[in-house]
Parts: sequence; C-alpha cells; structure tokens
Amino acid sequence: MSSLFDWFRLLFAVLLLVVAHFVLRPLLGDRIEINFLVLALLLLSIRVRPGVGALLGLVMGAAADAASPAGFGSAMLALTLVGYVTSWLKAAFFAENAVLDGVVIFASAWGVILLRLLLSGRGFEAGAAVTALVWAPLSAAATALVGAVLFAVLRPLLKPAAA
Amino acid sequence: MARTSRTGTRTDVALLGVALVAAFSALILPTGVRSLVQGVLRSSVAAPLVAAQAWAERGRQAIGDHGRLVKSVDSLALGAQAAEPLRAENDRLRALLGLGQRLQWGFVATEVMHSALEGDENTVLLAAGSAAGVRPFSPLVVPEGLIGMVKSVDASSSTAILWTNPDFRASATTTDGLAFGIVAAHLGRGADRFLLEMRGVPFRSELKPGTLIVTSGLGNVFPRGIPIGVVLRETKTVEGWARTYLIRPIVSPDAATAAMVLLPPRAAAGVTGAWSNSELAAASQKAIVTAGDSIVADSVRVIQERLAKLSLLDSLRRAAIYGGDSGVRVESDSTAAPRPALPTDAPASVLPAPNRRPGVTTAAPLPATAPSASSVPTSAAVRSTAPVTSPRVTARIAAPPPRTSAAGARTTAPAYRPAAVTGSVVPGPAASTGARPRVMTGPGAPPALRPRSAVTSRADSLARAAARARAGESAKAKGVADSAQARSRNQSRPPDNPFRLPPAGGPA
Repeated sequence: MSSLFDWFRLLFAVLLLVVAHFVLRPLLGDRIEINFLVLALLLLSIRVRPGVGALLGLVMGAAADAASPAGFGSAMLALTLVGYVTSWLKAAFFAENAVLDGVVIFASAWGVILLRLLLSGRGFEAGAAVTALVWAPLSAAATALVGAVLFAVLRPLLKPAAA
Repeated sequence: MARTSRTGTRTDVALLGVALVAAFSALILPTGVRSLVQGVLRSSVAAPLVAAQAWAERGRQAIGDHGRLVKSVDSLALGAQAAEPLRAENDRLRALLGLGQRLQWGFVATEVMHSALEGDENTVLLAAGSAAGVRPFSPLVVPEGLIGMVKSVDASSSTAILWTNPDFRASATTTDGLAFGIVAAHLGRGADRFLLEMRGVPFRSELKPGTLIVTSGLGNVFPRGIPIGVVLRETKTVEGWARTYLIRPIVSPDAATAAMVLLPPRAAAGVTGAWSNSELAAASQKAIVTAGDSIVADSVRVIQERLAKLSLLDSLRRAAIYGGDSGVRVESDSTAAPRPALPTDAPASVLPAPNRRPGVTTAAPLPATAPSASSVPTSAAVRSTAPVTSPRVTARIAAPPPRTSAAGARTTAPAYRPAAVTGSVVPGPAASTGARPRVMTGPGAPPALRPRSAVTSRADSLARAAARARAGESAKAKGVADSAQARSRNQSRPPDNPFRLPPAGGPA
C-alpha cells in the first residue's frame, strides 16, 4: 500500500514536470530553456530497470517530438539513451549528493540538446556551434540547477520505499 | 542470482534495442509518413500537451507584445502632448479666420509676440506695421473680443498695449446700452491683477454679475460692440459718486498668439455683427429679461398710483353725493346689504356714447330683480362684468394698458359700487362670488349725475395724467415688454387690475 502510494506520488510529480515542460518552459526563456522532461525522466529512471527507463525515454521523447515542428524522432532517441544510461548508472551517481545530481542532470540535458541538434539536422546550420557550445550548456546548467534544488526538496517525498 | 541479473540485462538490452529502433525509425521515416505520425500524436495522446504549449507560446507572445504596446503607447502619448498645442493653435487660427470672414474687410492679421522681459509683459510686438496700414490707436482684437490697442507703429512692426497695461482705457457699455463707463486695468494683486474694472458707472445703473460689457464706440477709438468682459461684482471706491465694477476679461492676453488689427476705416465703419456669438446672445437675452422685470415692476407701481388716485376721487365724490340727491343705484344679487331704493330717471345708458367700451353693453330696460330695488322702475340697465365705478371714470381710467391687455391675465374683477350709492369704494363680495352688479337708472338719475360733473372732471384729469405716464413709459421698451412680461407673469403676477374692462366679445 505504501509502495503504491509512493508510485502515485511519483507519477504525480512526473506529471507536473511534464506539464511544466510544455507550459513553463516557453514562458521562462527563449534561448536558455529548462528541460523539465529530463528531470521527469530522471525521477522515473532511477526507480526502474534500464530497459524500462529506455522505454520511458522513448515515450517522453515522442511527446516532445509531437510538439516540435522539426526533428521528429530526435528527442525519442536522445531521451531513450538518457533513460537507459541514468537507470543503469543510478547506483553509481544518484547518491545523497546534490552536486552529483546536478552534474548528472547537466550532462543529460546537454547531451539531449546535442543529440537533438545532430539528429534533427540543425547541427550543420549557421549558428549551431554557438547553440551547442554556449546556449546548450547554459540551458543544461539551468536545468541542472533547477533539478538539484527540486530533488533536494522532494527527496523526502519521492524517496522509494524500502524493499 | 547471476542468471537473474543476466536475464534482466538481456531484457534491458532488448527493450533498449526496441526503443532505439523505434526512435531511428521515427528519424528515418519519409516526410509524409513522419508528418502523419506527428499529426496523429498531436491530435490524440499529446493533444493536451500541445495545447498547453500553444497556450504558453501565446502568453509569451502577449508578454512581448505588451512591452511593444507600452512603448507604442508611450510614443503616442508623447505625440499627443506635442499635438495638443498644435490643436489649440489650430483652433485659435480657425476662430481668427471666422472673425476675418465676419469682418470681411479693414483688418490686418498679425502675429503677437509677447515680451519675456520683466515689467514689459503688458506690451506686445506685432508683426504688422504701417506698411500694412496699421496706425496708432488701432484696436487689437481676437475672436473672443478686445485685447489691446496699438501704441506705436513702425514700417514693418508695431507695438501694442494689452488691457493689462495701466495706460489702457476703453469706453464701455452694456449690450443694452443702459450703462456706460470707462474700462481700465484693475491693477490689483494676485489673481485680481488680471481683472478689469469699469469706472464711472452712474449710480442708477446697477449691473448684475454676468452682464456682458462691450466697447461703446465713444471716443472714436474702439468701434461699438467688441466684447471686453463680464461683470463680476461691484467694488467700493472712495469717490462714492459713481459705481465701479470688476470685470472678468473675455480674453487672456497670454493665450493670444495671433490677433487682428482693425484699420481706421473699419473701426469708423463699426463692427456690427462680428461678435454675435452665443455669449453675446445670452447676454442680450439676460438683458431682455431684466428689462421685462423692470417693466412689470413699473406696472405695479402705476397700479398703486391709480389706487391712490381712486381713493382721492371717491373721497371727493362721497363728499359731493352726500350733499345732494342721487339717481344711480347698484343692485347686486350678492350678499351685499340692501340699499335704500332711490327714484331713478336716468337715460338709457349711463355711459356717454363716445366713452362706451366694448365690454359695457347697453341692454333693454329690465325690471328690477333685486329685492331691495324691486319697487324702483328702471328705464335702462347697464350690465357688465367689469368693475364699475363711475362710468366715466371707468371709461377713462380703467382702460387697460396695451401691454397688460395683451397679457390676457383676466380674473374675476372686484366690483366697485358707485360711490353715489354705496358711499365707499371697496371691492364687494361680488368680486369673489362672481355676482354682477347692475347699474340702474331711473327718473331721478340726472340729478344724481349732476354732482359728478365736477368730480369727473377731476377724475378725467387724473386719468389722463396716468395714461400719459403709462404711454410714455411703455413706448420705449414696448417691443421687448410683451415677451418679457408674458414670461415673468407666471412668476410675479401683479395684482389684478380692478379697472380693467372685459375684453371685447367677452362674457357679459
């Protein structure tokens, strides 16, 4: 019962993050974007097996690609890899350390942006280097900052029950 | 344990492979199929998310638009601030054009340049000089009225003093021309510094606040009819032999940036009709109403004088009648006390033929119906609803003045019994009950009329004097009296004229 309640609480938090990704992200900035989908995927992937994490990344990527006019499939692929990797490396990286959480989130968000740039074909356009090396790290840093604070605040609530 | 972990790893790898294949498949899909799949997702599973993102995008666009709109509004506000003086100047120039159209000739439009020097604020420089026909003492006017006078003239420019200058003087009058005075700067302190004062107004000319003051045309400097200001109140002066009024100027000198100089031929020809604006019309209407009120007051005074004369007349008559006999008697079916019957032998009518009024009808001989006079044979009866005194007095004195006859305010007139019978002239009860006095004459009437000859001659002289006084006073303002008196009748109705004859064709 307690485990089921924890899962409902977790899903509610993930749903809020997904909604925030589509509602808050356009309002917060133009060039520096906070990727709430990565945060939601990380919340889920650290609690599931890598394969399930990959599937969750695929689903979230599909939702992201549905709202994007170009590069359909790039977010699927990027978030699939992020979900699998973060779920596989959860024992190593997701300790009780906010800084380490921030680093992982930063790497994940930057990797997603880079993969989307490459896979959507925009990586070879003019200004792509600036986006990949300036705006993408800034966006990833913003995402990492928000994620670290969010995880630190929600850790008591989202801590999985003891098996 | 190791098998479980290995199986789990294989499952994870398999799921990863499936996910990767799906993702790569989405990437390599043809454009049409990709759009189809994307459309299906947007319209089904991801529809709420897409809608939320679209709403957020609109909100962000609105935020950006708000900033642009604020900038645009600020720019428009700055433009509006700059446009307001232009609009005001445009209005002034349009009004100046309108004044030019009304004047038609004999003026020079010029720009007014105010001086910024201390102590020189009462003088302006005009951009027109003698080359344009400007001469010293030419009036400087704006569409609202008088603003000043040209002081000195050069070839291409001239200097004018405003009405705020201590040297400014203008002969002024009211629009009805009943009060004259000299308008000059008030030279007060504070807000009163920008007022005018009208000096030398005779004490008999009391001006009400709001009365429009215009130039009088006297002195051959300013033509008659240029508005100067309106009366604020009367001020007390040390002289005490004339009234002085504070005048609120119609024109503010600071607001004048363009004006017109009236050339000497135009000033000599007059500016009649050039300032016939609504304010002038309102002032004229107020003057008419004031004149109407004074006429009504004069009418009341004349009536009171007539009453006094009538009292004197009745006293004289009473003295004459009690010294002889009388053949005239008044019978009334009212509550009046019966009077002693007197033998009458009067002619058919007590009124001489030339003095008969339409309201007095001569009837056939009627039998006496009143109980007190039933025994008296009558040869004639005069029936009238008009108040009856002496017939001659009625005919002479009680002729309604022309303006009051037009009023039509006729009520039940009090009946005056002839003093020859009653011995007193007081409104009888018949006045209130509507009873009609009946003047009966009989064989003894001529002796009764005899003593009236001396009395009526006195009454006739008084009546003629009253008529002359009334005719003299009504000749002046007869044109405005009818309308003004009709308007004021409902507010201050004068007492009923007891001498008024019934209108022609009225009820007998």
